[in-house]
Amino acid sequence: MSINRQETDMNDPHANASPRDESGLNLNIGTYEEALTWIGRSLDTAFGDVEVNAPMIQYYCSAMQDANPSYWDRDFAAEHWGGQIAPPGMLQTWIIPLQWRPDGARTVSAMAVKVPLPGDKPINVSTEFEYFKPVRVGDILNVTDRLIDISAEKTTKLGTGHFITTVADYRNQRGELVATNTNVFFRYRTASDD
Amino acid sequence: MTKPALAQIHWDDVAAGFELPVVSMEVTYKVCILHVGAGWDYMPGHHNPDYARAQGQPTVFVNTLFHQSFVDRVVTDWAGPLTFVNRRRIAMKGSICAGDRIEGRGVVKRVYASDDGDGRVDLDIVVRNQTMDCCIAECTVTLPRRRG
Repeated sequence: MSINRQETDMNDPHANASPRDESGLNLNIGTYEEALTWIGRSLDTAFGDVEVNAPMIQYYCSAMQDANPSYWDRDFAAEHWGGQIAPPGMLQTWIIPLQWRPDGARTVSAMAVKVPLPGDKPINVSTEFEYFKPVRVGDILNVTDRLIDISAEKTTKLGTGHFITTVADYRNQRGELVATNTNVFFRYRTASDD
Repeated sequence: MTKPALAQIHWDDVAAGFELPVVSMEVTYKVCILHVGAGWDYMPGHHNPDYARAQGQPTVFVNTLFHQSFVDRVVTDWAGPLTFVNRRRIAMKGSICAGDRIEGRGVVKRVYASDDGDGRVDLDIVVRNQTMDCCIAECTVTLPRRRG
């Protein structure tokens, strides 16, 4: 099954371009050779759309069924953490852009989606976080994402593509390093794309 | 507001080899949607079953943040709310999909002090659904030390 395969122009050097990306991530479709030239580059620092806030923390803990009073009880958090804190597992949420804004939604700023590669299907493989400071209500976080490696083409049970390794540094508005994240992401095409 | 009574484990009382209580969760389609709305990750594989199937998945599957957060719950549901997660590595070997029932099992690997004298605990965690081990994780946390 192909999804929205566009009409191709025989004179177009991109005539064999992959189907339009429907992931919503604006995957940059290109070649492995182009991707290799990106290794070592960092994206511009991207800032969160909203401050870290208690309602989103509680909504997230509700979704995860996490009863930890650090996230629910303001007095408990004030006494033990110096204020309300967010769960470390939701760190990336704070820098994911809103889906719509009056001035135009921003795209996800991550090397794994911006690096040019043939794969138009995304899936995450592994991720490692080191946390240095709690994330506090009122913080505005930013992220700087660097491309470390692209694997040669590999085929898995999902499809054929490339494993992308990136390192992202998360900072708060005081410039403090809150966390570092090493991530491996697989961008692939399924057999039905070809 | 009700106060959940999550007792705190102290570093001094933890021994290598200890097996944590199992944490389980029914990952219904509604849970998947709640997590998309709460975590802001709208990649369609997480909320659109047709897209997930076109990606080669059986149906919608949860994202990395869900795996991370559930691993953290396996640790903090046992260790308590004064726990600080220093490090967590996860490998997502299999998808957790709408309709799955997941169970998280942890075991204490090592108990030691950091250079600054903090009480550190290393744990291995596995999250499995009814078919396979989906998430293999390692975690390092800081627990409070008893005084005196």
